[in-house]
Amino acid sequence: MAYDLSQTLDLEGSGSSSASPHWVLGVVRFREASTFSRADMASRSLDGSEVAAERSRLVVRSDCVSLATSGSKESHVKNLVAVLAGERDYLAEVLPDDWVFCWIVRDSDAADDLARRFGAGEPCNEFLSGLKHVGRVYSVRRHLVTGDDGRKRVTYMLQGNGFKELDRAVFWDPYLSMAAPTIDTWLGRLGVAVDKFFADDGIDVNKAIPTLVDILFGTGINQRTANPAGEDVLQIVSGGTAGSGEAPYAYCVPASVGAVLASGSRSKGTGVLAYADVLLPLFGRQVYGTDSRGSPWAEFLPADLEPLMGRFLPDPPELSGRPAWSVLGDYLNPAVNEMYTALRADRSGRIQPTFVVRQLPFSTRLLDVPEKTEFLSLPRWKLPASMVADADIGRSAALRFNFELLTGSAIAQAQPDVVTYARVNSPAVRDDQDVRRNGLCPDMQSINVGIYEQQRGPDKWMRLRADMLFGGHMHLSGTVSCVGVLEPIAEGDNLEYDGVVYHIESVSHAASLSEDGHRSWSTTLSLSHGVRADESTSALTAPDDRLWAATSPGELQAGMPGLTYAGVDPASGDPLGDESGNFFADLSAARNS
Amino acid sequence: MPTLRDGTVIPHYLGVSRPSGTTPSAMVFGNASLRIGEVVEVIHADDPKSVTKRFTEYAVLVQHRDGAGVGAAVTYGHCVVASLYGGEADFDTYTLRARSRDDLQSDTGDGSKVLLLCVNGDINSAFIVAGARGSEAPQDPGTQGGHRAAREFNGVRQEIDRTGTWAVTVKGATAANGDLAPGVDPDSGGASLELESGGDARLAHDEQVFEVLHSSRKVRAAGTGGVELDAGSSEIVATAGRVRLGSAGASDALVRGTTQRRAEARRNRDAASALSSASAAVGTAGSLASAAATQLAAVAALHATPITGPVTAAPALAGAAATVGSMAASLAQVAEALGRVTAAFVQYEAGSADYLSAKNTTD
Repeated sequence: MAYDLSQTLDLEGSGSSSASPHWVLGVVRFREASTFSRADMASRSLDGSEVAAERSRLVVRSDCVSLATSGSKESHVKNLVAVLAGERDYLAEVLPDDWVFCWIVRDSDAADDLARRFGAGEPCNEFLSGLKHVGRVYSVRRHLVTGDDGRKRVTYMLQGNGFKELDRAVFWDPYLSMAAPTIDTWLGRLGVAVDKFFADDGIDVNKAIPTLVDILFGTGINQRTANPAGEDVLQIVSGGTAGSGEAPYAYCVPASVGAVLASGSRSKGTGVLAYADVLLPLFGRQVYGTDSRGSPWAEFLPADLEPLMGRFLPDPPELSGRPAWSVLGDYLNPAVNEMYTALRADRSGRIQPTFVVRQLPFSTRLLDVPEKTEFLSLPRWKLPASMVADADIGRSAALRFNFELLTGSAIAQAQPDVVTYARVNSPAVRDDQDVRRNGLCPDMQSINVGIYEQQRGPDKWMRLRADMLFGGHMHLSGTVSCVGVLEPIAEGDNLEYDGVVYHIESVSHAASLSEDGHRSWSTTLSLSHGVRADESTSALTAPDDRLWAATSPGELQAGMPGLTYAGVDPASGDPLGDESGNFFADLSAARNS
Repeated sequence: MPTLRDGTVIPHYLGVSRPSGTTPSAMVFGNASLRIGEVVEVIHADDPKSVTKRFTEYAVLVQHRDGAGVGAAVTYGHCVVASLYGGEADFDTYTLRARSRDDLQSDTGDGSKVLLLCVNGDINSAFIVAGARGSEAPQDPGTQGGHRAAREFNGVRQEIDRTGTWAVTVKGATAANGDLAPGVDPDSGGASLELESGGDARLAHDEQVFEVLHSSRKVRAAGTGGVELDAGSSEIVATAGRVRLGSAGASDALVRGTTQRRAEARRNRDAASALSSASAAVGTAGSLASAAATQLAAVAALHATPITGPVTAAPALAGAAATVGSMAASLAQVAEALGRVTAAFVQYEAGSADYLSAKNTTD
């Protein structure tokens, strides 16, 4: 399925479109700047309804003279930088860790409507709402600058981080655990039942990550674990609600945030949301169908989610002092799985902060492994050449691989020579000819598997990675800049451009208002893994060769500039142009020769 | 995602690094952490797989995790146990147990849990420096146990308790889980040697006991099947202030056999001599009595003749009288001999105090 990004540009008819991009910043502000009482040396209150209490929402329209958002798969934290100018004192209006939203749209009416709805606490995250950032204010700074003309100007720089909650550290005091034996064992420490973590042969990635997310950002650690005697003497878990019969939330989110994102709260009365309430999880190996499911956003969600591969030693997770994202990453098995965050549309078309854990979706149709996600099966955005301003696309030998070896490590080995058995049962995948030609370019990793995979050898996994990596020097990659994309195009999606399907590694939006009042908005995409969208267009015959794009001269011509009137016929060397002066006909003839 | 200078976008699941030909793999030469693992195989010195061909080697399944990273199980092959003394003349060796269960479904097994260190961080030079108790190991006794030490190896248990008492108990060869090994007779185990802090010592197996009782200044040996002292052809000397045979309350004095036997011999000799004399005298008396009887008979016959009978019988009568007189002498000899017999017995009895031990008794 391919979603044409030009459909909202209304290019029919005239073949051109004009837009005047506008942007809106919305800030959900906490009522209390500080919650600590020095007199008590503790929080002033542990009431859950107060932790997310708000003051009036703030909307920034014309004061924002430029903004830029960026997000990549490499980092789970998304960034926002906005430059504000105007009369308002943003140092006082916006405080660190207030919630900030950013929309970029193509006309002022849409921006006005967004501003109204945000102010009214209505949902503002429809598929074409232009929502580009959801996060927390990281910093607000005022710059006083004296210009060359002697005039002083004041601007504010607001920086925001999205998904920063996943970077928060967990603190666990070992000295408390010695005094309170109920939290001494690591599962007891988390208040988790064994079957929430374990499969038969180790910690299961399909269970561990969702359970940890719920503990760290959702329901949290329940009262039975945090305070088994029910006594109000020691706060073992921060985030608890004193006297509340419900489990305390590990991470509380204001109600307005839920309103903007149309997310419900798991709370029974306070309206306070847990962070997990606004975080859309997408766990599992993604399986996409070919049948249309009606709405465009539904096409971007997998038809099915299968279990991921990965078993881990039953070691207790090191919780203290580590970011939550790092703790989650311990159970990912990155050799075959990936974990990232993005703003994506859910099944109802609403853009939500999404936490994706899936198998690497770079398999080809030629791979004979049932547990794969084919790269070309992923739904894709289709970028017409008319939207592209800049493109830097190419290949590199840095991505060449010709030797794939994975060593499986399980929680137990029935025989001491199991690695040898694994080598025999699952030898390395090699492209010997390529090794002879270019030298060894290996990919070798140790992965966590179940006992059975370890004995048999991770053959399936090696073939998955070999299929993904071999021929990487033929993949196209680079960056493309285009006019601002309204749709929720996100890292982790695929993009089709000029007959090549790429994987989006990062998305950046830059919008600005120049001093002469000119508004501009561009979207920059970092792309990788470019392969031919339709193998039938390949002139090559070998099945593996037909995967690659731009293997024949004349391909990837979309958006290429034409020859000038000073061009010559490549065949004859004569200047182009017939008696009528119509050099386009000669040009076409020259190209077709 | 990293982007190379030429504009190549590196996918997020790959990283960028420079190849380093001089930096050895951290896994091979940077293994400086104390590791914990379980012995999964024992390779004896005569095993073809042995590398050293001299020392017992072990394959250890190590749970590898560096820092906060994800753990993995790695087998260290051919590990050897570190030596306590490191010398040729002084050594202390022992073997470890390999996992006995070969069950794919099991996680940790019953093999020895060990701690390893690699010399110079080289994973191929791993030494087993200590053991680590697993969840199946016997639980420590707690507060009441106090300051103590205990060791058990293949069914031989040594323990020093909080009072300083040292005890060794042999229960028989054991399996990896501490139970008696198959084929071991459960009744045969239980021999113990105990040196108490109070000074007593005890070597025992059930009711068979050899004790040194410092508290009562005694040495005691007891056995329901008997107590044997076998000195071969050498002598057994028991020196004591008193010897009681049979029971602690034995009060019957032991006989001094030699003394008694000598006195008895002398008595018997004397009595025999006296009786012999008496016998002879009685014989003589008997003969004389017979002669006297003959003579008297003759006298009596003579007395049948009046007046001349007594005259003629007078010599016979005198002769009979003399004979009787001689018989009396013989009887006197008998009496004297009997007196000597009596004296022999009296004398024997007079020395009776010497025939019994004054200190040693029996029941």
